[in-house]
Amino acid sequence: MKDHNEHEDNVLLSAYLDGQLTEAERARVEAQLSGCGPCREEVEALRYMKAVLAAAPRRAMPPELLGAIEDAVASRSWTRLIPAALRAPRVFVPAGALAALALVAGLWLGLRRDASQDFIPLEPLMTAHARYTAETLVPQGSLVSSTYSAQLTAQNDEQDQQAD
Amino acid sequence: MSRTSRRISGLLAFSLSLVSRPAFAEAPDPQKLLESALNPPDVAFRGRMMVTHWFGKQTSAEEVEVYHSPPNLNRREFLSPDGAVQRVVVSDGDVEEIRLVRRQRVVSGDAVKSYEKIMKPERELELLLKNYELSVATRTDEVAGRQAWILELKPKVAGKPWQRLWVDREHGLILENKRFLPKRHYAELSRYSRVELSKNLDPRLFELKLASASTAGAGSGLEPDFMTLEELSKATGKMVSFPTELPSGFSFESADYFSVGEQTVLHARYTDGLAVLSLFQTDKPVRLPKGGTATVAPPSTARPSIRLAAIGKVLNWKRGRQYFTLMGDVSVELLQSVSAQLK
Repeated sequence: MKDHNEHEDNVLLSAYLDGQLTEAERARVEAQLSGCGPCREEVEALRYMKAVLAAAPRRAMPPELLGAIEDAVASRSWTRLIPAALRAPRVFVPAGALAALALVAGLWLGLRRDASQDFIPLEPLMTAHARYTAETLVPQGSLVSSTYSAQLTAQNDEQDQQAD
Repeated sequence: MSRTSRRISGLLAFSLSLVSRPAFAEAPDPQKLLESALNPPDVAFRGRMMVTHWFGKQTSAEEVEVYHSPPNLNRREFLSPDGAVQRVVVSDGDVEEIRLVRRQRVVSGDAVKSYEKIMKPERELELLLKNYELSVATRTDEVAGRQAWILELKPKVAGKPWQRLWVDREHGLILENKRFLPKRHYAELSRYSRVELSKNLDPRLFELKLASASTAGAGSGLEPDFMTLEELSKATGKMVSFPTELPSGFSFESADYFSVGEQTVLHARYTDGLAVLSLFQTDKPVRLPKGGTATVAPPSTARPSIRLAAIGKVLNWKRGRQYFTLMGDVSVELLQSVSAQLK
């Protein structure tokens, strides 16, 4: 199992949700998930995104766009005859891939942001609980003070990150 | 005196010296020992303490420099491994400030135990004695060079944490505090490594930087109010249907509410005299990891976005249009059995 400070990458977690991993990979991911809260949260976010995407309405492609794509694909047969040096620089290909990736990432982030607005974060509730625990009859002293002051620090960090 | 007589008298004297040593003194009554530890120590001191949280396979620890001056002045400096101060908690008994050193931010709220709760201390003690078996070890233990009685609070219901307190024989100071679930990977421990009694602590240690207590951020939970259910309903205009009793010996103590963004969170607090359960009611769901059960990690081990403190476990569910979240440092099984009664 990985150390709890290391996390599985999204590609592997996504493949895990799609049931595309080998048995060994699946076992490794499940072992990681059992001991890693951040990875479990990541899987949950991915699962949510997939569910939203699956439920999104699908539109038929406009005939003009379909025709243009078919023309472009057909034209690839004669582009092979053009010397490589005369063709468009290769950088256009990765740029296109990056644009597509940015689109997907933007969609994902947008979905996540929308999703976060539908939920109340857990942290303020935990701070309130921890702070109240200090009020018990039996003094808990630094044990509880450590918890709620650390929790408050995390909550402030989280708010600052969101503000950034 | 014959040699044999001398041997016997010598043995007798040695035995008597053993009996008179603190480690073999007669153990006090558990309830009296507990009561001696309920109030803040009557002596000024400075000490170094280690606080450790175990949760599952994760552990976090930090050192704390503690200053106390009677009756209610307290200062705790939480240190990073290199000794740098990460945050400082200062209290004068009425106001408590939490200084987040790295963020250069001060958050202020009500001091711990600065207000009377809804539940009277006598009732809380009654609950404690009903739900826990108290005992004192016959031998004293030494913590930070001081003799301590070991008071054990053992729950009568499985799934609740045990607690052991090492109480200073002389001043009632809690030298060590351990909460744990037997056979589970959950425990919290605070233990002094050094205690120096001192008559002259610099009063500037306890100075508050902010004059008023009105600076607690929304949702910070640092100004807990103590309301009855009727008062909560009136204050929020919301229908409140929290029960007054929960299974496994938990009784309603008080309620409060706070804002998270535009949302109002209702908070009902239950106690069995020692352990605490929090029941939250919200209009929107609270974001939890998959399965509705959050095993909350210690603060220093997870990623920054979800650095959560080791306060226990969390369950949530929906009833009607309302969402409920139950939280407490008890076993998952006990939390589930309590939530089953609420659904």
